[in-house]
Amino acid sequence: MEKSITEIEKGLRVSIKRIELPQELRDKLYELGLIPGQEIEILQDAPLGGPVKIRVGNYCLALRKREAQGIVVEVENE
Amino acid sequence: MSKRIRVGVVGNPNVGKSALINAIAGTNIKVGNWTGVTVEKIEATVEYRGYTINLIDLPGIYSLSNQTAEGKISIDFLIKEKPDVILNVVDSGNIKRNLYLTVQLLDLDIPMVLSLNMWDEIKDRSLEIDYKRLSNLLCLPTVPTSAIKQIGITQLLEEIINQYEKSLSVNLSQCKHFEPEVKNFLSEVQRLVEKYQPSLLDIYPRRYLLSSLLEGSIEEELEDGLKESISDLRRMVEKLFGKDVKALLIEQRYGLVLNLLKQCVVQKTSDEESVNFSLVLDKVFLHRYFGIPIFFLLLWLSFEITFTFSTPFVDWLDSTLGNMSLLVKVYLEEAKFPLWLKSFIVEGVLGGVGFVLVFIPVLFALYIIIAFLEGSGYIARAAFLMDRFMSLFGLSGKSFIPLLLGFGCNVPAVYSSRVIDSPKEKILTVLLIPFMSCGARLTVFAFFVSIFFSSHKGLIIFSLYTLGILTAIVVAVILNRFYFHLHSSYFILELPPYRIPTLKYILSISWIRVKFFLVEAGTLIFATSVVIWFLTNVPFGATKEESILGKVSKEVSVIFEPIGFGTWQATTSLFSGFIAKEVVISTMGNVYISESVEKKEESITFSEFIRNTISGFFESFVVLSKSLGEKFGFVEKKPQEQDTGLMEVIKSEFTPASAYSFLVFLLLYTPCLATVFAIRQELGSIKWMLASIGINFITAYIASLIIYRILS
Repeated sequence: MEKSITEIEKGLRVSIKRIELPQELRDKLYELGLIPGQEIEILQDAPLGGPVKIRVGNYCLALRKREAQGIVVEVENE
Repeated sequence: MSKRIRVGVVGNPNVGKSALINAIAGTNIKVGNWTGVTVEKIEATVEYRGYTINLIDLPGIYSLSNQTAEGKISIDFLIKEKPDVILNVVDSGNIKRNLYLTVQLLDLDIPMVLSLNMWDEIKDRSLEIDYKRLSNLLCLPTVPTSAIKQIGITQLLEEIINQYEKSLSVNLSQCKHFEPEVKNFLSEVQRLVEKYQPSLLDIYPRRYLLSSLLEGSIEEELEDGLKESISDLRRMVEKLFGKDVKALLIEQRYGLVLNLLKQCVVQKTSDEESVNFSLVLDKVFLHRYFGIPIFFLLLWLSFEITFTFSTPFVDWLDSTLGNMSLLVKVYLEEAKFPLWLKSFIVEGVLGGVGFVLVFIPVLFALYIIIAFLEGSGYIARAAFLMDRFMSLFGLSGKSFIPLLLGFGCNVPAVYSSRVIDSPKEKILTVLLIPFMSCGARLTVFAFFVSIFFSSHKGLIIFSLYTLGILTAIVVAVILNRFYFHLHSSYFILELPPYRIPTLKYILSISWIRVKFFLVEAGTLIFATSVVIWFLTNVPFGATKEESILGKVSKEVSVIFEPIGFGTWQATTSLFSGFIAKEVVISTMGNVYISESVEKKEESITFSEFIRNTISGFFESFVVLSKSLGEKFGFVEKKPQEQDTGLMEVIKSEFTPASAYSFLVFLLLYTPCLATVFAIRQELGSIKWMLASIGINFITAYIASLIIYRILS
């Protein structure tokens, strides 16, 4: 099943399916290693709807919620 | 003369490039700005095996298609200026993303050395990298390094020289990387270039040119025929692979990296455990509720430390300089110098020199703290925490970094605004920087606070910093509402692992920055001091009040009446503060002291001077440990002795209310000429420079008025 990374509970590792964002932004994330197949997880979010901290492989990246919503991941059906 | 090798040091942000350069070159480092683009440029020089190796630290980039202004500097340097050798610094603990850039760098056909940096860290993470194998697969000399443990430093220099010598004798051949299918398309691009615009091949490295053309990311003006044929080709590729070329190329490069890693890297623990330490710290520092209070606590602590540590040394320098002018005066009297020349040398010249020197302790302490915050990885956390808040004014967490740097010095802060992608956001950020109280203003605050508010020093100074921030918020909201209409763009920021930067690195980078300040601002301050001396002493023999500046100030001083300091002396000081905040006190010394206090007949011999200077220096440490003791309650605080001279005069000329109002004005009006020129340069327009001056003056006046009315 496909979901946006923001809908996944914190700490659950999932794999990137594709990125649905404007091309410039998508390429930026691609080059940072957020390519299809890469495993990521949401670690933390800032208060009051601030950015989220995600783990990509073995480094951490901060993104706004809006951008994070464009990261589509594959979740196994329950 | 020895042969020179120019080495471009390239890598992702946060891989410890500067620390590595510091480990290689020691303190033989120069800071400056990139010509025309005004981003900090660090250059180091080492002599080795008969070569002069020139290491140029390029701003961190994640890829060669980087669109930030800082990234452009690096890419332009690599492509247009072509260093003799590239030193690619890679974070061994984060090798996958780092090697992506390496693979792109190979396309530049420049001899390259790979440094697997932070090698000591992966040992703890039980990550194993077969670097010899990696070296073979990439056809690149690969050296494990660590700036902290001093690993691989001479080996790097050896390899740089080897690569350089090899490139002189044989043609460079890099390994082949792309899959045949894409390769065919790249050859087709090459055929088209040769047909339509062969000159491109002289400007750009071949493989970089071909893939950039296929991606459509090259900036060069293209011939129509070439443009059309390439977009036809691009459509063909996209049809064949079912995705756009850019994505395809990125995926292929990552594919190559993954393939390399499969052969050379063994990870014994999972990814999650490898970043464990930082994860735990982030649970605290990025906590939903405690993160921001902790941030403000750290900010406050930083200034307490700066203040406590530097005060004894400032006092020492101050008294040493006082003694020195006494000493010089004695000699000048013996040599029968005319009165005006004596006054010029002692007050104008020595005063000016002294004023520059007294700055060193405060700035040094502040730069140390900033270097620690940068090196530890906390600055990125500050940006993360502040993003939501900053986005209210159309800014991003990234704007917070220049603003934060503004507390050290507005000038580099203005230049650091280059990290912001959106031009409008950048202009707004730059206009807000002057409201961030810089180190220079701190010296004036410290001086006044020790006279009027000695029991609440930290608190009063903290209140001024806070007021600056609040004013910036109000100004940002107003400007955004009526002019900029910004909705913040995106925010992508790496949160690097927490690290403890080495003391050696912190000290040397701070010292280098202080030196840069001394050279840049020092000259200006000195010159101003001399000019001010002339303005306040011409016609010579007249009272200060009748001097040129005194007369002008008297006319202008009326406008400061409502805010509590409508005297010509205060006005003169503010005039000089427009040129640089740090000269305010020396000007005050010039206009108040010679006026009201009869000079005491003191004299000093040379040996006394030397003795006082040396003993005073060691006493500073005693004073420092005592004041630290006071902070932690070990030592009882003694009432402070008041200095005579200027302090006495200021005490009688100002009330606490007018003093605070004066400080508020000083905080908010134009920071200094250097900042003004930095703004003009960075925003490339006189319009914005004038806007900045206007905004600052109006805001300062309004804020002082309100505060003075409330207090009195």
